[in-house]
Amino acid sequence: MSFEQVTLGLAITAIILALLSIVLVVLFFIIQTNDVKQAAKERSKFSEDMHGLLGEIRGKVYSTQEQVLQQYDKVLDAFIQRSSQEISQKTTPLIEDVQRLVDETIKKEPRTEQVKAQELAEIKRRLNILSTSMVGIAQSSLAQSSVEIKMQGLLPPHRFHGTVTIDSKLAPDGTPVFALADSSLWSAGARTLAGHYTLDVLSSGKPLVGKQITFMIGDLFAQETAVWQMGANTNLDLSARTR
Amino acid sequence: MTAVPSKALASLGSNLVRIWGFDAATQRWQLYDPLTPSLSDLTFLLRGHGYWINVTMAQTLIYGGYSYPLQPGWNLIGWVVE
Repeated sequence: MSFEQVTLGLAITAIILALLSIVLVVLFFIIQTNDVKQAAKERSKFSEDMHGLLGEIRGKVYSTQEQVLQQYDKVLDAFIQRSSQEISQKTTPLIEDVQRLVDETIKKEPRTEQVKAQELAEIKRRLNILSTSMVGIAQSSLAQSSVEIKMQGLLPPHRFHGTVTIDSKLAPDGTPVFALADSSLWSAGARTLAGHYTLDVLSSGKPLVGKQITFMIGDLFAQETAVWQMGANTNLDLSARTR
Repeated sequence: MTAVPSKALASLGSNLVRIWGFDAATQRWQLYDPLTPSLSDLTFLLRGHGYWINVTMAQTLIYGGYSYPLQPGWNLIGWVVE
């Protein structure tokens, strides 16, 4: 074997080794890039899941708070209206009775201390009856107001159903959907299944009639809105964009 | 006799808009809408339960020997048939 042949063999071997090295380096970078992409994908998915979960928790907290506050407000309003009327109607005869007794007592001729004490005791007794009656009427009025408000909550809801899309793609299973009116939540959260949702928006009486309903898909606002109607059943496809 | 909405309310025909019932056990509303039967979750009318029923015209619903006079719009009825 000549010197030239050995040199050529070595040169070819070196070139092959160099090419192999380049291929290995390229493969390494490809694998690395794929790993980075995969990691980014997982991070994005995790972040999406967390956003969804946070949205859901936030929704539940708002929903509970609002429902409790609205319930108390309504009971209080109803109580104030009802109690002032009822107390006035039902205690007027008692008040007049006490007034009459006081007037009669004042008109009487001078009496013994014993008689005076008896008269005063009678006035006190009637005032006690009046006071007890007022408390009783207020209690009964409050209970009645509470029952009435609960009954108002038994109006049939407005049911919405349809598809849910985010960035023109069907929302993944389990995506929460909520309804809002006047910046408050008015529905128990529904979850999508096969890109569809069914949501009952409940009213606690008159407040929602004719009001505009907006929808949330997770923590995104849907582009569509609707007007609440008692007992309606509406097909409404919801869509939202992430940017 | 189990009252299935589609049969129990059949005599109302197209006059029936929809009917809602409240399931106290699950605290959920249930709907029967003849236009979207696949989305309806009210499968039975139960004796002793109350229902909101919406009709377009006044009509008396007769079922199981009982009659329910209905006015146009929403009516709250108590279901008495077994």
